[in-house]
Amino acid sequence: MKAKRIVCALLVIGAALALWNPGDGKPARAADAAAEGGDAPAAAGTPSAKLRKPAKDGSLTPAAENDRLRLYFDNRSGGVAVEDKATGSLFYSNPLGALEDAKASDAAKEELMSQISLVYNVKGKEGDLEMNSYTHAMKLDQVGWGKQEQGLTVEMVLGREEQRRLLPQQIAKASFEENVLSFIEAEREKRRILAFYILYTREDLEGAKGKELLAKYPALEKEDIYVLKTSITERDKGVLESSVKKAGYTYEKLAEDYERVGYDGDEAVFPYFKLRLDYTLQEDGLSVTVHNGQIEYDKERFNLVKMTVLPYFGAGKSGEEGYLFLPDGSGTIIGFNNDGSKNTLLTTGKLYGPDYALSQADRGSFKQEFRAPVYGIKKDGSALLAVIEEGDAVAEINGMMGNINHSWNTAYASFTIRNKDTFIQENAFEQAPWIIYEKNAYDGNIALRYFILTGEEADYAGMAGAYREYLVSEGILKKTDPPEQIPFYLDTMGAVDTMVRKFGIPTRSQAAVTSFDEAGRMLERLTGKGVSNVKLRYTAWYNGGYFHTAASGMKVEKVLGGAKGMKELAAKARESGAELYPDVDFVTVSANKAFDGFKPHKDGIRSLFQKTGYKGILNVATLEYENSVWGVDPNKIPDYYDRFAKDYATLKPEAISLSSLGDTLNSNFKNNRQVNREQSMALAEEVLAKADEAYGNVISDSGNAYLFPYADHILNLPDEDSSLSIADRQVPFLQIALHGYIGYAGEPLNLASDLRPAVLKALETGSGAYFKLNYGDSSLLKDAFLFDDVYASRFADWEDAAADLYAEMNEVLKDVQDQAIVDHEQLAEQVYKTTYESGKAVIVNYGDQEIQVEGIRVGPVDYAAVTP
Amino acid sequence: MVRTKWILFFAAMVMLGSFGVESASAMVPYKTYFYDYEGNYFVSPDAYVPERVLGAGDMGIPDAALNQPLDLFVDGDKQVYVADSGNNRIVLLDEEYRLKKEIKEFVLGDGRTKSGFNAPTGLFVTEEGLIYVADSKNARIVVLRQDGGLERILEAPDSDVFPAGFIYEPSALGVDPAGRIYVISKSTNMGVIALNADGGFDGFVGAEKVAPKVADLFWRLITTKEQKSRTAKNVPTEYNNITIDELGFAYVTSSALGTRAQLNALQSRDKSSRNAPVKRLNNLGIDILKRNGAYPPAGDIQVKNDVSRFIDVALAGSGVYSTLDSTHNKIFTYDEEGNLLYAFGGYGSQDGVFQSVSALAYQDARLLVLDKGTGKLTVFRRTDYGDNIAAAIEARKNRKYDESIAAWRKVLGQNPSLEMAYSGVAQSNMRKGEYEEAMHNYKLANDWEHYFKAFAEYRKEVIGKLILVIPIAAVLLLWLLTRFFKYVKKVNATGWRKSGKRTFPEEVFYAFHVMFHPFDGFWDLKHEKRGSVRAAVFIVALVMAADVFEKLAGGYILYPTDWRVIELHDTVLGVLIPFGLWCCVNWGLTTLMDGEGSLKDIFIASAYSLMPIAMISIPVTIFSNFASQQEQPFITFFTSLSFAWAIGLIFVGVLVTNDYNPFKNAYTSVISLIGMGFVAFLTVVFINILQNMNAFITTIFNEIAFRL
Repeated sequence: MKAKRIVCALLVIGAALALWNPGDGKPARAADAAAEGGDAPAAAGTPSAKLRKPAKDGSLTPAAENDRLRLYFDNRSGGVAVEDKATGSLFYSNPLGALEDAKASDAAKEELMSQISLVYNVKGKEGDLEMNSYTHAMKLDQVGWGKQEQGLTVEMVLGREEQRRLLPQQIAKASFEENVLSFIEAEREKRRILAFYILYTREDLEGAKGKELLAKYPALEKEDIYVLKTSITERDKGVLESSVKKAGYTYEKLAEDYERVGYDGDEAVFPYFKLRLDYTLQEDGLSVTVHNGQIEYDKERFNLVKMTVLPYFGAGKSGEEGYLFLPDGSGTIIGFNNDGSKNTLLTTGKLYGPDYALSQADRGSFKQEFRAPVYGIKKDGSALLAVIEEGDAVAEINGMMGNINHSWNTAYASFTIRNKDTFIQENAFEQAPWIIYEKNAYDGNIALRYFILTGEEADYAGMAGAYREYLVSEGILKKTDPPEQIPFYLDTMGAVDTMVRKFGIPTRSQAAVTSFDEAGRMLERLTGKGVSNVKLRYTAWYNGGYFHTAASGMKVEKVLGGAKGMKELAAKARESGAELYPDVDFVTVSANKAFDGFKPHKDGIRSLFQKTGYKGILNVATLEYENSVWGVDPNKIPDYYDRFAKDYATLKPEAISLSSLGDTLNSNFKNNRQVNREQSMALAEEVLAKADEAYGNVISDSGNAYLFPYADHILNLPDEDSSLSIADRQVPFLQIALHGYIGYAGEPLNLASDLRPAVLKALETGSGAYFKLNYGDSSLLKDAFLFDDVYASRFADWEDAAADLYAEMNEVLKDVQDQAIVDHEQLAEQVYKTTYESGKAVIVNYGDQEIQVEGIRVGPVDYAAVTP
Repeated sequence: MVRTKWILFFAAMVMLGSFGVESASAMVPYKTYFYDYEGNYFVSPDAYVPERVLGAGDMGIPDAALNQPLDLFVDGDKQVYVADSGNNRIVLLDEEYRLKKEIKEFVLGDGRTKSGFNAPTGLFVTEEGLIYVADSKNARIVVLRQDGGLERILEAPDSDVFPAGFIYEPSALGVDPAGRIYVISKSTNMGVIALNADGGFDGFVGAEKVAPKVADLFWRLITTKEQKSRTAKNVPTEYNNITIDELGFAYVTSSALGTRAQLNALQSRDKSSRNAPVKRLNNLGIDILKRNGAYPPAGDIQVKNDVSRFIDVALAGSGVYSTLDSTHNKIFTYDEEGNLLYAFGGYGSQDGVFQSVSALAYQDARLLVLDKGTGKLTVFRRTDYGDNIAAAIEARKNRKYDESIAAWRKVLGQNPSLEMAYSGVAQSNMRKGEYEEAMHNYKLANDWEHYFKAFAEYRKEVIGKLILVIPIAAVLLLWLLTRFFKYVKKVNATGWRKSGKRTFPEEVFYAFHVMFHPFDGFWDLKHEKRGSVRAAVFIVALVMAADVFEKLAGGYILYPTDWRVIELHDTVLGVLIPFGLWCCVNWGLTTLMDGEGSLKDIFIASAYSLMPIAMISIPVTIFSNFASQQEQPFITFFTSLSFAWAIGLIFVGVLVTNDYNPFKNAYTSVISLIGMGFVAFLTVVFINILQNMNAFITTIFNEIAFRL
């Protein structure tokens, strides 16, 4: 028993040594690589002459510097390190001491040491394979780097460049002797070759494992075969291959021999990926670009599926004080896993919400979506914020907990280059899932921008501030010049389908939940109660109301008052200082009529399996998606917009609401009309830009980041995170970044499960007052079978409360409307403070006890405004 | 005083570090919903939202996190007891969930020997503060005082009633006000074990009687012994948990029911106790749970195979109770009548959803849920919406109707889909004599029984107003009808003498003659050509139209909904296909059996026979709009009459047309009916094969398209 253990231990140590092998393995491998792929980087077509190999001493080599920062090449990992010259603190792309981490397995250690990891797939085969830059490039000495202006560039070849070895994996005994061995003269060499092969004879078939062998090597039934040992190292393979080559063996012969033994030879295909990373030092950080479109690999044989860039840049070690920031909803903070109580390894969010062209996995609970392409890590006195500049639409953002697979906590982005989908055909002969890969892969660049924050800035509020400054400097955000009073966002709904009995005969018809006339009355009544600056968003007013046909043309619902009614409403709104934002949905279609310009099979989105894609409507009880609403082919959206705009112009509008464009981003996988997500985003931006140009005033929903340059107001901007068990706090990151530049509000106050906390939330985040009210009888909504999200919306029940709340919020927020939020902090349990540029601060107390903070008394579930 | 307390609190907070407990308005990771009368789900405002999620560290329990905590109890002083089964201890928390006491062991009666728990899975605390612990693996019940000292130990009861091989493993227990102890022992299907106050065996309570089905008896006759032993035995229910209410009645839950049986009971709206996952047993062990809601309380309705499995019940007062569903990790709350008020929860790793729930309990307006997967306690806070519903139900229970109605109106303001609330408001309409309003609200509530009561009152009102008009209208109608029939009679009488081609109205009107004089009528129909194919087609179309009209314009007494989508195939299937089949099959048969009628003759005769259906159905449909529930028998009578009449006519028609004697006619008719069934069966089989072929071809197509 004991002896066994010792043997085991020795074996493990032996294996570890064999893998680690610092001394004797390397020179040989380097020589190999030089021989085989020495000119590899040259093929990438960039200034290869200047490229050099990483030094073997594992030191940092300075590459560039500016006033604040210094950039080093890290000879240990092939990555970089950035030094903040003022504090001397270093940010490594790969954690120091990763190879000595006691918690990590060997594979995890190499993962920690890589800057790129790839997921790829062999065409025609199922299952994804992985590679990382340390194991498959750095260790094989296939990395070269060179200085560039204000930065450095790294080129690497992941995997073996040579595609196939001229080395038979399986070969019939007769042909091996005839084609190879007979040409080799030295007996010693012959024996050496044979030492790497196992001979299986037909006599073996009679043994205990006979059947198994036959299943593996069917050719064995006819003749004896040689099989290459699986334990053979790459280096030995190289030596062996040169012997075989010398014997005059050729690829043609290899193919013949493979055919003879019935071996399909796929394993002999070696994947390789040649890629380039550019690191450029910026004034306040670093930008990193992966030239994704120029990655060289065998596209005939492989699919590049996914790429992760710099997964451990700035990672924090468990035990350190610090947290990860993820853009989950409004933003969430996950403290490092120091006590080991957080047992979720990976928290992942796809940017900009689900893609309904892909099949939707069933879900267990409701979560927020990730709306902004940012993430960050804070540790000690400094923080790192990353912004995805390019490739955001195909990105997902991950948070990884330390103390599970290894010691580091990190946040990073990965990019889906090629989507895949699985599908199980009912009644198929084979009940295995089919996997299909996207043909229209993402071929743009992947660009990340890192901001290094220190001192006061080094927290989530600082990160949000850095993001805001970035957006401003890019010209994406522009300061608003708001009216005196804060906005009152009023969302109202037009027509729904109901059954009405006419002379006892029920007929399906439209009923007005709020007609134009009634909406006008709501405006009047609100104005009469002192509400001003109303932004009236009007939904379900065209092409069939709530369940509308495609917006490829416009017909104002008669039951609401028709086009005339709408114009009158707009005029009335103008008089009272309000604005009317009719809402148009270009992304989905929920009713289909003949000749409306939309044919689901033609103009709808399709899945990878060429099936019509639906915007899944989640059944709240079963949590399964039900198909009822079609997604519009993103290619069609600009065209629909143009056609709609022509009709819409007759109303002489001054504003528009494009709610779904900011909420949903779909691909389309229909053959010949493929749109990947990045292209879809470009199309959405095109429409948003046109609308912004034409009307000036644009409202949208949910706040996907591509809206920022065009939207003036964003409703339903998430003001909460997903309440993940491992998260420590929710933070209003989006609000801190946007306040003063874009008007926004979270959930409608009247739909909040508790009103006062919702009001406090609005005050804490600097939101406008937002209500979703309808003038008509609420029971209409029950009659219309609207199962979800419309309740508690009768205007009569809310008009007084809404006006009072508006007055209350306006008092607090009206003088900071155009100001950025400079700080946000938690003062005590359930007590938060938001500080604006002018020094004005709002303290909110969600707790049910009065509290005294910073010399100010804040009542239970109450707030206090502090003016300097 | 208050101030110093707060400063101290603040200091404590600072010491705890910068991160406090989640903010009060964190995202709710589930949607609260309920089902309407039809079984459709509606999203409602949240009635409960997660307030805090507490791990052992947050409760101030120093060592080990909770390990597989299985039971939870809240006593009269709002103290919380947790059975931390995996750690073999009982944890006693104060009102704010901070550790008060941890009971791991106790001194036995001899004053020296210490003893501990082995997997304590159930808890109950009496009003006097005695803690009853189901010490399952030790096969005993331990009774402790509040200070952790031992009061007594109840060892396994000794009784001859227990079958051989019975293993006593108490997993849950409850004590009624009289001191009687109810114990659930694992894997017992004999019901709840009742012990008297001294621990003596009192008997089994609540065992379900197994009534074998006829089909089972049949199978039992023809199967062999081995086959019998292999098929699942029809066994009574096993209970898994028990909760005692203030009256001493026991809510028991069962998760061992057959999936199909439970689902069928739910979907067929079974109000009986059979296959019910939750029951309320009185002292005699009889189930007295009310199941007067649209569906019996059995959790999720829109499920296929993963039916809700209840593992615990918590009582919220006023007869409201919540059940815990371990399949979906959801909480379903019902009122005393069994109406579903709201359902929420779910699976996940967010605050407010669970990995694997194990117990729940109410602490006043708060709801506590224990998760054995994570070892955490989730505290839910009741929202305004939940408060309003609770207030409405409480007021109703205390017979303060005005208050109750005011609360229901508030609820409706927040959730205009809740049927119960409409019912509540409609009650007030009735009391105030606003019958039209009441009808509207009862209709929205899908409460048709009460709807018709309101309708009857409303009708009385309207009739009162129209007292003069009605007789006049009736006389007018009668006069018109008489005129019409006189005219028809005249036409038919003159047609007798007329020869050659007849006009279309003449042909149709002849149907009235056939209706009343079948023998004579059918003879002339065939031999004098008084009918025609076009008139026959018209009559069939008329019957179809009457059928559509009935479905569209029938009163609520016929179809209690406003959503009447007419699908053409309904009518075609209901009228045209049976009729066509009859004609073809009957003709085919009678031709073989020396019938004299051609297909045309039989078609005309059969079509003319349908006239009574059209004539009676249309007025009945109109009448149904004015009928109340008492008048339902009239409608049934007239509908049956029209069918009987038509069938009689068909019988005579075929008899006359084929020149059969009645006996032979009856004989061929019966064979025709069998033939119709046979043809229908073949058609269905054929369609099925076509569908299979279609699926087969699509599959091949897909395989080729995607695999290659």
